[in-house]
Amino acid sequence: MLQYIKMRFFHVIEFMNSNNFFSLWGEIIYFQRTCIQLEKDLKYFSPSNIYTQHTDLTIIKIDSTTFSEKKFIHKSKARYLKALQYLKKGYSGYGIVRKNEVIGDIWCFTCHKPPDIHPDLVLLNIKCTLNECYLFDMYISPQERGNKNVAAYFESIVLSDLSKKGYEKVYGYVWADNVPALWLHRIIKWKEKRKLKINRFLGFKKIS
Amino acid sequence: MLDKKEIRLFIQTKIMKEGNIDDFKDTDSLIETGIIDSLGIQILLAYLEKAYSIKIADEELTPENFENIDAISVLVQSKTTAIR
Repeated sequence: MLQYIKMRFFHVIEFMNSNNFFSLWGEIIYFQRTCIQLEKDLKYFSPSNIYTQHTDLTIIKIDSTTFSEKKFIHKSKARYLKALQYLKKGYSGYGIVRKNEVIGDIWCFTCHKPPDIHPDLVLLNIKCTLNECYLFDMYISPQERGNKNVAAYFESIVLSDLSKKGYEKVYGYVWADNVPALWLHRIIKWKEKRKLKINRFLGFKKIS
Repeated sequence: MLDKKEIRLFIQTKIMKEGNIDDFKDTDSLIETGIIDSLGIQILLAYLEKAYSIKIADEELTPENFENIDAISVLVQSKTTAIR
């Protein structure tokens, strides 16, 4: 619980450094916000060549082993603490690293661990099978955003790795008002399955 | 008639970090060259909506509509024509 509060504290501080006070509240209290449910077929996926220009960046797997080795420093304290939370829940992730610093991450729930289903899958009523997974909570450091499609590069490599591991389909969602995220998912050609209206009040989320 | 030079100038001065947009033709891909990425599209969208008094719906935020300067001009032209 203390770790969670600490994570949220740093999250608020870092968010306020890049955004404003009202944006922060807008993330935890909203009504009728449009969510676009996504899926992507991974059977024949290969990353686009247009995203292979970031030779100075490395993609790493984040799991309990790599995390405990402490080879890399997280640029964001909040994301480091969040990674601890996610690893405790059994999620795994990928990081994007510049020199020794993790500048972004994305997380993955693989659907072979019932009964602990990711809460988003319950909310969105996604039935995930053994060779499918759910990608969520992508983060790129604010200083790295706008760096020649770094987010698209990162996500493409992650999808490629999941495909090589034998996953056939991946699920996700994006907010329709999150223009950068929506753009990213459209250039990687995720399939948009449906739109939902979601209400949220602090920790409680519900489909409208 | 929509002046593509205004769009070019905005992309050159507010979005491109290096290079010269005059080196790009109106049909050259802004996406493949990395000029328009997920942050750049947000900046460009805000500019187009304010400069031309239009609203671009999320369904219209597609790679096809923002592939190059020609495509952006067509989109903006269609929306400014529709308003009148």
